[in-house]
Amino acid sequence: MSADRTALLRRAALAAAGCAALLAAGQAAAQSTFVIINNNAPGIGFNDPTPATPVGGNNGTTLGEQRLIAAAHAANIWGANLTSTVPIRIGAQFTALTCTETSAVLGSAGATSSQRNFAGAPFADTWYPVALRNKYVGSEATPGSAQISMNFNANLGTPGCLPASPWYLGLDNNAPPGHINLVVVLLHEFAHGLGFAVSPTNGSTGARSSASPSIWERFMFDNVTGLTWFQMTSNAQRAASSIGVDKLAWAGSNVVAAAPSVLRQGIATLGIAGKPVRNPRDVTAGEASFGAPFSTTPFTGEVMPVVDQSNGTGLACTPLSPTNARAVLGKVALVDRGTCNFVIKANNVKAAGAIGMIVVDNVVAALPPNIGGSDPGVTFPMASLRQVDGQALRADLQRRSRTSSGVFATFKLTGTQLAGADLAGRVKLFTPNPFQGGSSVSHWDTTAFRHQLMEPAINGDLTQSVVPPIDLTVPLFLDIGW
Amino acid sequence: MFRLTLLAAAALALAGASAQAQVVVRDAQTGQLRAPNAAEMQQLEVARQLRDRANRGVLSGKLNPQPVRMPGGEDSLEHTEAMMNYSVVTTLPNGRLARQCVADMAMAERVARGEMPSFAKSMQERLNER
Repeated sequence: MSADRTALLRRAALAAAGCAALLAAGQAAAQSTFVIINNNAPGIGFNDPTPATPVGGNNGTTLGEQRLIAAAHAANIWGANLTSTVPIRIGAQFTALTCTETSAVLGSAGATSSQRNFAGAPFADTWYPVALRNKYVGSEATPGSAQISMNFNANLGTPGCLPASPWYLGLDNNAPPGHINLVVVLLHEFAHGLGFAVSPTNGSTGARSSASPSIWERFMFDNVTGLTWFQMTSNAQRAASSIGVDKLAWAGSNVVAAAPSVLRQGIATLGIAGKPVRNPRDVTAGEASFGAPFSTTPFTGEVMPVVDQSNGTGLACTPLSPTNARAVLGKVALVDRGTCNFVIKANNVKAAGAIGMIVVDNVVAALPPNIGGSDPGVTFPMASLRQVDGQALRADLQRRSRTSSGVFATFKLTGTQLAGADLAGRVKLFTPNPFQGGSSVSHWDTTAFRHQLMEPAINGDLTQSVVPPIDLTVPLFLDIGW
Repeated sequence: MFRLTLLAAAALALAGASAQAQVVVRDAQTGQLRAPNAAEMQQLEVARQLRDRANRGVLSGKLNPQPVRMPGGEDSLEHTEAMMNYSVVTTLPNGRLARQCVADMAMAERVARGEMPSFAKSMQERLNER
């Protein structure tokens, strides 16, 4: 061991002692103890002496102290929700990581090792994250050594490193727009270190480390083959499953049991009815990432089309003509997909007084498109329809006046399928095609609603809860043995 | 074409990454193997260092750590940098921030520098969807 390395470890041990005391002070209800091992040298990272103003319940007086308090806060949340008699040590540091004016590496975290065939292991020849192994054994595999490694960007928010987006170090989940909530990012990354990952199995190739599966594999159920990754007999099977798009789901009983209390129940549906409608029906609708979401309270409005194209369709990419504006005033505007983005369409019909918007797909597809975009100023409901369903709706609208159609659309949820789960209630894992290294397989699918802490992209509406009815991370940890 | 040349060079060099290995590159113009020039050698060295860093144990720093049999018969496998989860944030054209997890530091750095497609980019495409 080099002299530098020895010095680093000595420093870490000293810092750890101080931080352990800090954690214990705020941890009355904790079921496990987390220890932050401060790996930073004096003057930087957790030891940065730059004076800081208290923010969001974080009363540290220096930048380094506030970082440490935020890390301890995130660790304490996990400590209150996971049970172990063995301290969980996180080797942590803030260092300079890659940045530009518009992008930055926020940081990294993960388990430092996996263990198999330890005393009391529930399954033989199966890799477990070391912190979970310690829980079973009741002692540390390597006493004093970190079980989770964490490294975060010390320069975030400084010139050249996303200067407008510093870390938000408050503990109150109240980050101003543009700031990056460190506690939420830490919660997410710590979870990877605690075992929310398929590693050491390679998620892309399906290859196992030293021929043993990870505990994670036992719960990865592939709806195409009807097998878990553990049951699959080849790397090729697992590799194909990793890009199955929406076919891979988590089969653990704790998650399946908790999912109905966390995820929204029901499929987005448009009910089409009214006197001119020959065939009253429910059709599957695509959802929007902005506006009023589908809910258990149906919303009904009379449908009127925008007509601004020579073929009788309407794009609503420009402010509506007086004729179109009169038509959609107080109505659900029917528009076609294309030429401009959905936010523009929504704002144009909103400006004309519409109370909702239906977008008809402009291509043939199996499912209606998602209405992407973001605009907090748009608050009405929106839905999309497959092209064939849109054409049927247009046919219903043919006998209308300039201001009324008698055709009504009801935005509603139908059925019992959970948003982000398969038909059996197993919550889907993120498996896009092509494989996205670091995201695929080791996160929930992005169709989960409400949004989950362990989706691949951290959403702005996350809370700091990691348990039902808000979040499914702890049920998953219970499934793997926590 | 230049990038392809470097990738080919990296592959050839890494195949013989041991010390004193002879390094050749395939010339993009002629298609023939030749000795790398100084710039190519530097690129190869960066690639080698990135690969080595990704494959080093996060605790010991050892290259390509293998399972170790411990007292009592259990096995311990030290994780590498490549097994860590990296988080990257990118600013979208509308000014919003998009965060994503990526596989390793090399990928995280490439995403942060805008050198490779990213989940954030696909989010941007959805925002611009028509």
